[in-house]
Amino acid sequence: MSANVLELDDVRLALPSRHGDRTLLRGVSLSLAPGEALGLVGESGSGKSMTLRTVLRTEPPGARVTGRVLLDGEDVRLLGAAALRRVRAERLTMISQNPRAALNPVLRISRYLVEGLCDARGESRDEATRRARDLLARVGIADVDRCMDAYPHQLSGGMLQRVVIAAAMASSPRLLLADEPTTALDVTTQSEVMAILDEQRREHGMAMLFVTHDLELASAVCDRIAVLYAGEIVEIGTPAQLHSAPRHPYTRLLLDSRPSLTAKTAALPVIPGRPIAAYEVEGGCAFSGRCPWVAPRCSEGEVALVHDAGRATRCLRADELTAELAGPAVSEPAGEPVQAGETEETA
Amino acid sequence: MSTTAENVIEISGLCKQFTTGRGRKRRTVRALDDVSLTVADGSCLAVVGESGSGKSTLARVLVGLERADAGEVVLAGRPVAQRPRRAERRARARDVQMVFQDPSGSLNRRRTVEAAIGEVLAAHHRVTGSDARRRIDDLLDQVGLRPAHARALPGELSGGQQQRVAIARALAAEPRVLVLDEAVAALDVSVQAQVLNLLAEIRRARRLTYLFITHDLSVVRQVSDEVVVMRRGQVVERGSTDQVLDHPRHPYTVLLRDSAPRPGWRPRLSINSDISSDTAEAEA
Repeated sequence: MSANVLELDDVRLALPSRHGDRTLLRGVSLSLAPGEALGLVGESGSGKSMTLRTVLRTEPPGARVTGRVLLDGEDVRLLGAAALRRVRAERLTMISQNPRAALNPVLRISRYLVEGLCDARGESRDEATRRARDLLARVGIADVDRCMDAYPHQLSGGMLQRVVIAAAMASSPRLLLADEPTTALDVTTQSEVMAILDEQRREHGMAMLFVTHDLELASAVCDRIAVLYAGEIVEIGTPAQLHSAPRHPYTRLLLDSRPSLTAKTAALPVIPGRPIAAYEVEGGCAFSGRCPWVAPRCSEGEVALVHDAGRATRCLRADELTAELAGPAVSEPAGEPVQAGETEETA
Repeated sequence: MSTTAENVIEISGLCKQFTTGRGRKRRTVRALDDVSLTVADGSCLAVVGESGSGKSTLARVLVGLERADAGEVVLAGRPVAQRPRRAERRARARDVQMVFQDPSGSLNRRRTVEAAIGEVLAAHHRVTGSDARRRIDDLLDQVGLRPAHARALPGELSGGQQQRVAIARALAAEPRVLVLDEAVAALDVSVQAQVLNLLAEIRRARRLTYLFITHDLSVVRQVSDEVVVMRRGQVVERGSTDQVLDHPRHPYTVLLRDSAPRPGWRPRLSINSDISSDTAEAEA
């Protein structure tokens, strides 16, 4: 029995389709300590949302999932309906990209919050109303009366996301699953919602699995980041490690290809091709088809995720490329290894 | 195309109101409130703002999808009529084309790439048959697609490829101005970089003028020469991209810049919540 809140052990997922089974997850393993925030970062089809859904057990109907998903040591994949409901009500909570989907459009916010509290915690109506108002105030809603009285369509996306966060905090769950919670919001609202989420999470000592396509955003709010590609984790590290010395070529190229706020480049470094889906992987390293550092052995057999001093990398050439991947922006990656400024790492 | 005007786009005093609801719930939103700007020939002007800033309305008025209540738009030296006749509309389409955020929404999913581009060629330049096929191959090549893609349906292409088709279709009209409304916002990071580079190349090669609408300041830095910052229908700041991003003057521009995630960034509550755009309802 471990002290981790969450442990995923070789989670694989396949969906039946007209063209036979389609693999979406090819063996995801990760762990999350109490109070820790782990970012799952990747492009579309990388499996980041699907990983999160295996925890909540909301994967698409017909999906075949193998592997273990341990919540406080208990495998949620094996729970019966009643036990699962209890876990969802007490220990897990989820915030998604679209808060409108979480709310009933014909119910006032007050009803949504109060009913949730009465159901989940068996509180009296008065008690629940008081708590609901308190929760709204804590997520930075200035006019609590107006918010309680409003219907979802009368509130902006940022307001609604706060309401959903307030509801999520109500049961002080152990683990928060956040699936692109700010992607649909404006940048200034994103900053506020993330600040509130961060504060609430720390206050309640809650662990968080944070799914996003935005590596910078994940870096700002997560303790560690797992980079996903084609249904598997290719690298895990702290934000500082990934930024100053990425070990997987994909991480490095992902960082480089994002335009910078502070400097313009003549041409952005690009990753050739497009992100592939897990079911398109043909053996060998999934990224080998787009990797500028590809070697013949990269296409021979599966590449293991190698753990080393708190980090993990899934690349056969990780050791030889260490200096090059940590060097300045790569425009001609096939050239001479760049002399890396290792001193920068202690920033 | 015989204009000698230095500015391809000249917009002055543009106003546009929308009214929603009825009776007591009737509200008026000023989407554009006295907006004036110019775009020099061959340059790229970025328009940044958040939802409700009026940036998309500006684009829609410019291409003729929306009619302004007041103000004037001069495109390539020609004043744009607010109630254009068919011929005028067609002439305007040759001057300015638009690329939207969601390519799957702007391409007909039952028409092949070839048909989508061919339609524009036939409508604007009466190019058909084997000439059209040659032009289509050319255009696909320019946006980094292969001739084989001509026969594909949008559903068979990835998001990045669909956006390339939308760009190729816009280029088929041989416009002088391309209006890009969040055209790279929905793309994956690695694909976004490809499309941004492609757009830069096309602008150089064809001497096009871009009006680039985005919420993303990093994209602004990468693509534009000048930038206007919009908020609640008004232009609150304008200037060269470097000047505005490095030395913003308006508090809202500062807030926008400080809200953009980047290395070392921490999310925070805005100190002055009045500046924040997170108002639930548009004010009357």
